Amino acid sequence: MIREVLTLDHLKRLGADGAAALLLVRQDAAGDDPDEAMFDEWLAADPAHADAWARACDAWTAFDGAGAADLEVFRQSEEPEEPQARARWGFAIAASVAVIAATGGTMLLDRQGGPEPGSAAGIQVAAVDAAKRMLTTARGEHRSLRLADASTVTLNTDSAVAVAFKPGGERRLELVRGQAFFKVAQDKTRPFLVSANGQTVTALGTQFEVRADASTLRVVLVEGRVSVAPARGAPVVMRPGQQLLAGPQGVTVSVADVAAVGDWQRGVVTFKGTTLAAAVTELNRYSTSQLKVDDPGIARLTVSGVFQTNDARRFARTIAEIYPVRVVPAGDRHAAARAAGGDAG
Amino acid sequence: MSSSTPNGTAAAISTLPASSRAAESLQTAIAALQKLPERTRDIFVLRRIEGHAYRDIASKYGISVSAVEKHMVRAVQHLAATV
Repeated sequence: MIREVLTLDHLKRLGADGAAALLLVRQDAAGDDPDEAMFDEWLAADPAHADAWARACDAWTAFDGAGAADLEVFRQSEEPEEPQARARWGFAIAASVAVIAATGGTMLLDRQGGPEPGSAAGIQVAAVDAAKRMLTTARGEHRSLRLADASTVTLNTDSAVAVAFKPGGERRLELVRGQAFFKVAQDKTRPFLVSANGQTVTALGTQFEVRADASTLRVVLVEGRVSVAPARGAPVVMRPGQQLLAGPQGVTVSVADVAAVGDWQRGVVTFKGTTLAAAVTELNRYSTSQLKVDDPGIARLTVSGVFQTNDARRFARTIAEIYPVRVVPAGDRHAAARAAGGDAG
Repeated sequence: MSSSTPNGTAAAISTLPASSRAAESLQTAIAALQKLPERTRDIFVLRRIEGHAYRDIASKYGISVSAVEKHMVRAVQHLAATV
């Protein structure tokens, strides 16, 4: 859909509250934040704008978790002037499960195996999930978004974060998949909680990254202090420069590669003596065309250097230049690395 | 959503102390909704509570998506002034 481009003048003419409402609705309608640059400019233009934005967000989040039962009040107070009104509400509520499953709520619902179609419980789950804001990136994409409290979240390739801020309460987010970097606006009265794979990271004014694989959670703390509550066991308080891995084998804390946190936000990845197998797995996260290493011998070769995350072909060519391997196209979406003349590995 | 992981989430997620406050603000917000013109209110409920897409609401009422957005902006601005 073609959308009008917002200008700062236009926003200023609306007044702080009108502009905040417009920005919030446009963000809601687009499913992401197309006005991000304009939003930053508007927010910086006047200190009153942050307050207006917070009020708009509070009005929005006040309906978190609201469902059909909360609308009873309208049935009682409805004037009889519009005879179709009741039927329309009935239709709207019954139809909500299907519509939501086809749009925004899909990822969360998929993750839980989905609600029972048509059941009362299903409707309830759908309504709750739709109340959340879902931030997502496609494969190969990364983007930064500003949250209602002026914290920022940067999503790496193929990632999803659900935001559920309680008005005046906790700032709660869930890393549904992938990897995200959080720069938390300090607010001691409102804990900032990120959950993933059943673990929760609690932060107060800090910068950290969370990555969730199928079974493992990794937290890298860049600045400040966070506390990680694993699914089992006592919470762990991390220091800056540390990384925490939590998986089926338990929780370990070690020295983090903090530089790599900034890497993906610049669209690059750094390998230091990384095996070709691991490097290919990492690069494949960013692309729909997948590299494949056919030969276990060359999978153990090591790679060092900085590579663009959006150019797997160049990576493959570089490998072919430094090692006796050749890259062959394998169908539409694959390229395979094979030992050249059988003398590698 | 967080209680469904097999390896046990319950220990990690603390209860929400804000829930009673949230219920209170929902009541205030619903009261504020009732002061809106009916169509604006209906559109807000369809979107915000029932999760319908903007384009679906537009075709339901036979209006443009940007008209739906205008109703939403009006509703948010009114609620923000009240809640």
